[in-house]
Amino acid sequence: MRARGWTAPPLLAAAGVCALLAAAGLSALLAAQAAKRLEAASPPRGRPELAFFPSGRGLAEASLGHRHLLADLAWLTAIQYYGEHRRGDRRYPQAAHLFRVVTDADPGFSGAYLFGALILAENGEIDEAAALLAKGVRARPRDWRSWFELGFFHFAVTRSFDEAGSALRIAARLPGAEAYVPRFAAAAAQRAGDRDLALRLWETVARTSDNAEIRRMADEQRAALGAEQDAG
Amino acid sequence: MTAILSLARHTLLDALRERLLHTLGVFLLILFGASRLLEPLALGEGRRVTLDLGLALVSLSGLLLVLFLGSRALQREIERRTILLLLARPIRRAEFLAGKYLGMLAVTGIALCGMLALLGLVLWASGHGLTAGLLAVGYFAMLELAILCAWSLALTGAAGPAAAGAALIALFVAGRLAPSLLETAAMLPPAAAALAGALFRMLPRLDLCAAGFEAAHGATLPAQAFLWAGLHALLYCTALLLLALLILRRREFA
Amino acid sequence: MAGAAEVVLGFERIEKVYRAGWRRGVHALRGVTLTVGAGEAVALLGHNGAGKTTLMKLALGLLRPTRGGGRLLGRPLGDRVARRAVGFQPEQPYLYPFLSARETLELLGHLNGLRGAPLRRRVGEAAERLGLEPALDTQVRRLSRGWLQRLALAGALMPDPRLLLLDEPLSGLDPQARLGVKDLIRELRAEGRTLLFNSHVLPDVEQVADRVAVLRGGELVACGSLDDLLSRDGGGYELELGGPVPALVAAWPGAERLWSRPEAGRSFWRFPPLGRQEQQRLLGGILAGGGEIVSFAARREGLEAFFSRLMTAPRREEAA
Repeated sequence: MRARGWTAPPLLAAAGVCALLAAAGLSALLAAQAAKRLEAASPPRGRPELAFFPSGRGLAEASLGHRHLLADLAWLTAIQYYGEHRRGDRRYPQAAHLFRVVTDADPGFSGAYLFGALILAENGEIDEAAALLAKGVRARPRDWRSWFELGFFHFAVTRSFDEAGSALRIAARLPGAEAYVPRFAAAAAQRAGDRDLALRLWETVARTSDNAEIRRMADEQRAALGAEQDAG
Repeated sequence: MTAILSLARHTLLDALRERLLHTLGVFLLILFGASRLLEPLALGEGRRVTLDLGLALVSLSGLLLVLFLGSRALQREIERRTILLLLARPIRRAEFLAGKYLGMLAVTGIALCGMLALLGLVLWASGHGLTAGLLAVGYFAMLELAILCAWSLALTGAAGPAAAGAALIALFVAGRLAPSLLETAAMLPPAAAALAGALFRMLPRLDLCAAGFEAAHGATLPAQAFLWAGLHALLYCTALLLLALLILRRREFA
Repeated sequence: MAGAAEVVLGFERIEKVYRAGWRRGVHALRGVTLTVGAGEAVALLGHNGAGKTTLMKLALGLLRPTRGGGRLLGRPLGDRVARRAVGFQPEQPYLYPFLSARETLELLGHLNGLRGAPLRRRVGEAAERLGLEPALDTQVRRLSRGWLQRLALAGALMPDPRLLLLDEPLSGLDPQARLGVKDLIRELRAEGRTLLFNSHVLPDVEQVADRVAVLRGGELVACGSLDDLLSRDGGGYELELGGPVPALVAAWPGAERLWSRPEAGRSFWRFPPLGRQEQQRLLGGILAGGGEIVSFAARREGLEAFFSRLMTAPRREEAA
């Protein structure tokens, strides 16, 4: 039995679907060919790793509402990238790009800012690291944690004590701030350069972080500060 | 009303007994398995990853369910000839359509509640907290599914299941990208911009319905967001069902 | 055409052309005029594609006529109010496979506006009538063809219909089941219901139909009672006698000797149409007079022969 009325003729519908499939297949073929030629044209060593990883804003647009998931996938990529290079050359040239992608796709991804900043700092990209944390503060201006991380970073890494104190004071005034924040804010301005204070900041960051790598970095830094103290 | 509810009930029963909702089991397996695999790799962001993966699966499963249901709503009734039995009865075609639509909503609603409950269960079993944002996800996701169900009925009434399915997927993508498409349209030369803008304005604003995902991540949505999305879905679905009815009224069953 | 009885279903010069895009249309029905009177059982005959099912679907509003029209229970064809009193059994009685027989009947009853106790009672009555009780709680997908056919018939009875449209009610049934359906058709007719049905099983049609309408290529080529259509050369009876010819026979008005073989004591006579009492008087008279009746039969061809003759005759346009 056939139903008649406003139906697209079956042949036309079938032809349309075949045309769509053919177009999709052709474009996939062309893309594969293009990728092959590009790979053949540039030697592997000279080509930046992850250079074709898309921009965060593009990902967010194309995510069909699932930008958080795409940010997660970018985060997992970043972790894998960090892990591979940490075991290898301990250089992370694409880290800035990756964490930019994560935080562009999801500016609310709070865990990405500090971890990204610490990796960039480890890579010698201090200014980029500070810029990443500043981006986190712009994305979450009412979140005490973002100001605290910025303040901690300026105190413990960049040694910009005025900026550290300023950020920690803002953190202390925001709703939900932990009890230790005002103490650190008060101490930061007065005890610029104080190794003890830096140690306690690293301890606090480690204690309050769910990120095992941040805890490991904090332990390393505390060990280094401890060694400095003993030597000094 | 009896006819509408009766048809809706039997559409739901038919779907339930065909074990459509066993797909929930597949959903649970995928989600739990993936979350167990990814949690150690996520460096403390396991809850986020589980939540986002779950929400994406809810979204995708909902779309697949509507695709599957939609192809059955009309086309299968015609192929099975059950539509002859139904339309030979003293019911209006509008009642038939309303009954099928309500039935589809019931199936998708049950599936959605099931998936969100399972997502909550996986989050809890993984030691992560639940969020009230899941309720907002449910609300907005249901609005989106209501729009997709209405589109599905309109499309399968006018075209075969394959073409209708392809069109529904395209509408889903376009609906989620509606704001970007409108921005792109504005960049065209004036005449083309006007035409493209008018066309794109007919798309369902599924980006409004994706607001639930923001709520799941702790964003506070204003009450107006719920109201406008709800109104948009209501008006859009009404218009689509009227279109579907116009198509169905002209159809003959040889 | 139906006589003075109320016309339950009527088609007036109805035409149906199926069009598919730009292709030439297919004429399913060409100017068919047919009425079905109250209480009649009318059988639609014709090859596949002759337009039988199309006619039924036009009555129900599942199709729209290209030209012409008709009336269903005094209202336009397909009218929703009229459909309340119509029971329909389609050719292929596929139902929702995962519903039980009971749930199916309840659904169909709901769609006819029944609910609660009246619905349950009607389900019980329909199931009992069709012998469906053992299968009421079985899912449709597990029912055999015979059970499905019974379920579909039960569904057609749910609205307590005045008019039943049955599309191939006898197809796919074993002999026992066919007997049951034929009995049902007789019962329904005896209850005063009107039936329009089609079937390819002509001997069965001959047993239950009051009138037949024959469609060929969308045209109505014959319509009338079985007696009228099947009588040869004006009808009447043929009598073969053994032994001497009783005076009653030779003197019977209109009686005609066709042949005789005196050496064998056989003769063959033709009589005009006789009512039942006349038949009894003639046969009784022959026997009382010591005559021997070898055979006595109506001058009528079978429906199959009639149908075959009609289908192979040159069509009007071919003859022209």
